[in-house]
Amino acid sequence: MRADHILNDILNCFVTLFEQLQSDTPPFTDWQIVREYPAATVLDNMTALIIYIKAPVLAGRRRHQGGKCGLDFEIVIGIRNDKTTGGAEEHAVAASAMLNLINDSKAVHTKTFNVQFGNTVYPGQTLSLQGIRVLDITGPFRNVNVNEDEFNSEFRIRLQT
Amino acid sequence: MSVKDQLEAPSPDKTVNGSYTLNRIFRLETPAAAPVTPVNIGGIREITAGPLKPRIERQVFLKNGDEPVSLGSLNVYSGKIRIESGYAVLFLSTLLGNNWTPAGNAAMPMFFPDIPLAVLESVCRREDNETHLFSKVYQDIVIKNFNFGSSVENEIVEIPFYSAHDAFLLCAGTETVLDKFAGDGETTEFALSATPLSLLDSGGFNAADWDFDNLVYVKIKEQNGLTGTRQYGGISVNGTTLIFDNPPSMDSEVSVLYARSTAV
Repeated sequence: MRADHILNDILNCFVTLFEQLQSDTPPFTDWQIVREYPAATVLDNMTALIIYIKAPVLAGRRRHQGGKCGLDFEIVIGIRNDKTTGGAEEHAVAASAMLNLINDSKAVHTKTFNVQFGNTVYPGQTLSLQGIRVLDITGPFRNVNVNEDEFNSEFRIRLQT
Repeated sequence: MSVKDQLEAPSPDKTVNGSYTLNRIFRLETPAAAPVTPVNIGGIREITAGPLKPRIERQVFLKNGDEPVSLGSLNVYSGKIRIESGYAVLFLSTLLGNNWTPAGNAAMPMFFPDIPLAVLESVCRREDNETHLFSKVYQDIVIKNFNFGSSVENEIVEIPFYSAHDAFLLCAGTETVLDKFAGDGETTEFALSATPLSLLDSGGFNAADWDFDNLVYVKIKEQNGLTGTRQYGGISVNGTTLIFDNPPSMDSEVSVLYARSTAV
């Protein structure tokens, strides 16, 4: 990852990781991956449960003597669907799959994906190879400000670079 | 380099997070096998180990009233294994090999013989649980007598141990190997399960008792022996062949501890 594009590059890593899961790892194959919060047109035309990944935010800094800080980030990954795309049951399945993935340190850090930074594609990358350590996950936090036939919840994932 | 240098940020691949560490033991009292299969140990919260310190085994008081003479002085270090109590009892029964089950022995006494029971290897890894950073090896640990009670919160048991032989660090890409062979009074050559890697002589307090021809140790336990005796001569290694000048006796056990590459 590039230090001066760290927010974009972390987001790229997570989006391409989930796109890879969507391409080859059930149950993620049933769902749609969206970068950042889905636009209204995407939500209006939703045909499958959506997993969206927001840009990371700085959540802490790690220090050692004589050097720059290491950065801790928090990244929000949300799940959104409605009654026509599996309803509450599918929503709970997706939330459980998310917890299961992040809880499996080996799985989440060794899943390979091809990530692009700028104009360069880096094949066969993992979160570990890119210097990202997933530390913790909290959630799902339910968003109640949606229509009663819609379901939206978010996870906060803590990571180090 | 200058006094104005600024280091790069601390990297996750240089930061050891103990929750990704795999702890495993090589039980010394196992049947002959090359290699001995280690047993993974769960539930460990922390392992602490202190520095090597001189310890006097015993003092002999002489008849003529002179100052007592210390015999058996050796250098030891002590440590503690902090482990969830449910895992602690599994760990102890594994260590003692006492088949602690209704079908075997229902009771496990809280008494531990003052002899080495195992080699403990802590494999420090990255968050992917695959990328090896380094390993800490506590050879020939002796469990001290202890007891444990009860806690309102999750019960953590502190198992105290000591060792009279240097702990050491293995670099990335290497792991501990314990090979055990049965002596028959005739065989002088034994096939090691891997090529021993070069070891650095510790040069420490107990320098004499490790790094013998790239082996941490070779021990021979006679038929009625308790722990075995470390060998300091009469042995050589050629590739993966361990060669004795004189064959280990009938019904003896030969134990060989060394390091191998994990890329085999």
